[in-house]
Amino acid sequence: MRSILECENLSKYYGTTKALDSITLSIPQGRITGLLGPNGSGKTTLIKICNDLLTPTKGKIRIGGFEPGVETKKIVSYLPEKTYLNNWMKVSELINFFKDFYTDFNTDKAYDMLSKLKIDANTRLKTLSKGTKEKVQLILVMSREAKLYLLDEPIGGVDPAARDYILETIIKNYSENASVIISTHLISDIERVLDDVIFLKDGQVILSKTVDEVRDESGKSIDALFREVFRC
Amino acid sequence: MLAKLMKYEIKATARWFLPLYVSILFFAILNKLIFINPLMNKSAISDNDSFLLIVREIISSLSMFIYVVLLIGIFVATLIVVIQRFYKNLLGSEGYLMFTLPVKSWQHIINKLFVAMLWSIVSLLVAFCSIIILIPNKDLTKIPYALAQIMDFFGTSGIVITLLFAILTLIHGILKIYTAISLGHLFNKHKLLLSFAMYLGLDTISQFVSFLTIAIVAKAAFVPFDDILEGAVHHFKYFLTTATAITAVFSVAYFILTGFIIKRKLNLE
Amino acid sequence: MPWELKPDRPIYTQLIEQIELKICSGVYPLGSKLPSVRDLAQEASVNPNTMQRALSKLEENGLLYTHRTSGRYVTEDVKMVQKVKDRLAHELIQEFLQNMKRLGFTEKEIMSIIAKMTGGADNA
Repeated sequence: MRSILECENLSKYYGTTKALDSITLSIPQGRITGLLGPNGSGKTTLIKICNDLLTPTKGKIRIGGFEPGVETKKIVSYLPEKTYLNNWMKVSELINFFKDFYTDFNTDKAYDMLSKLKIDANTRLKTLSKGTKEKVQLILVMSREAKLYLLDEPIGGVDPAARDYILETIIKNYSENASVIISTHLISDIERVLDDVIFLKDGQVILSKTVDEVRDESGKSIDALFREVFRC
Repeated sequence: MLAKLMKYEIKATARWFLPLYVSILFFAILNKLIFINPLMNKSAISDNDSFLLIVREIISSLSMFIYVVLLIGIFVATLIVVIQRFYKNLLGSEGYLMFTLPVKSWQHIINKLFVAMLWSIVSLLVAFCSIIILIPNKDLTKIPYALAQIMDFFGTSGIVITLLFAILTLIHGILKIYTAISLGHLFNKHKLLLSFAMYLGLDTISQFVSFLTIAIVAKAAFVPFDDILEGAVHHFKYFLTTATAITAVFSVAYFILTGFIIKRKLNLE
Repeated sequence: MPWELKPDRPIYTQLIEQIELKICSGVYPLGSKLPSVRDLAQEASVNPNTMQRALSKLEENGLLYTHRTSGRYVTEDVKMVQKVKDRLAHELIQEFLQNMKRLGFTEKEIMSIIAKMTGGADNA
């Protein structure tokens, strides 16, 4: 199976703290992968490196064959933890912004999702609630026909109904040549949409398997296994 | 891509400047109307009509006051926008969107720089226009004459080098702010305060180096002239050329340093 | 019929059971066309790859077949469905017997309870 993302001995140090400690992994095309680990395990650091928002200290990383940069940004659709929306645009203007910069952006899909979630495209971003802002960001990210979706805590701040919608959107947008990486600590909600899981602990990969392998071998859900591995 | 970035940058900043420009021109015209209005003329109102006198005074001083505040405001706004657009749009949470666009990181700096320059120049022109509006009509005719005199004095090469120097000084000033903010961003805490300290540091260094270079060049290049005025013009050109070169060198250094920090040391919160 | 997935077993085996159940109970009648993988995955809110795996397994077992161009269908073989039904019944009863024995009932007692309950139903 061809891989979309490959890391080789990838490390990131902040001073003497090792946020990522020699990670080697390969994410195949067409899979939905859960990047799981407690806070501070390196999930966000890894995702930021994939998006060229951080420069690794050591090691190699390739996305679709390229080092993070302009070429990878064309094929990676990224949902950060933070809301990055400015306060002066309207939702519709932001859609035009995405359309302008990303050739893989599908405007119809975006408007379709907006109307499903009953968000008026003429509203100013400034006036949206925090939850609605997160939904708008997710819509923008999922409206791209990207090769790799990197979703950092996509379900953290939203209500359960919206959570279901988000998972449904991920499944619906699934395509055979796109991969999705979801970082989260809310595992039970997301477990059934995952193909593979990667457990990160103190900047290291401690487990990398398919969901069914884990269940078959341990007789436990990913959630239960996670609680066991990361018991305090 | 740079054109697209600039399109959105201008959109994002125009909402600050356009209302300011409109109001400053409006108040300039209002002041002019008050000046030339016969009702505002002292002789038009008899001295016993103290009520009208007071109203006249209040209106004209208030309108002048607002105009002056706006004139200052236009430059303060330019400065704030230069800082805020770099600090907030690139290094704040909006940076998550900006730096994941398929654009090279140096293009972000050029984009911010060009648009900041654009507004600085337009602000200057608007301020200049508003002053022209305020100048009494009979004095307006003297302006072309004054300009011709200046042209004559400096010569074409002098004017070109002066303009070049002015533009480079603007670029240098803006890039110095960007470098200071980028350096401040390297720290975990008190980023804005440290950015300010960095600015003072950079400013001191560039002032010192400029002064030193100019002093050395001036000493080496000094030639005595019989005619004092001729000598002054000659040395002024020398001085300006040296200053322009130094400013250019510093601008390039700031650009490279900012670019390096943004590409390699970026760490958005 | 909603999709019920338990956390302690592989998802795809559970999907197989659930689809078998849906076929036996007539939710997906014999010879009918099955919804697309994507729709099924969305309905069960599971990963499309996992749903694909379950369907492939069912196809291997002969309960489903793929028409080259028009999609996936439920078999028309009544006997085969009957076999699946028998197997499911067997499994259910097995589980029931186990639970009853855990409660301390002997097979004889269990039979008499069942006879009483079903007989009671007849009398009513």
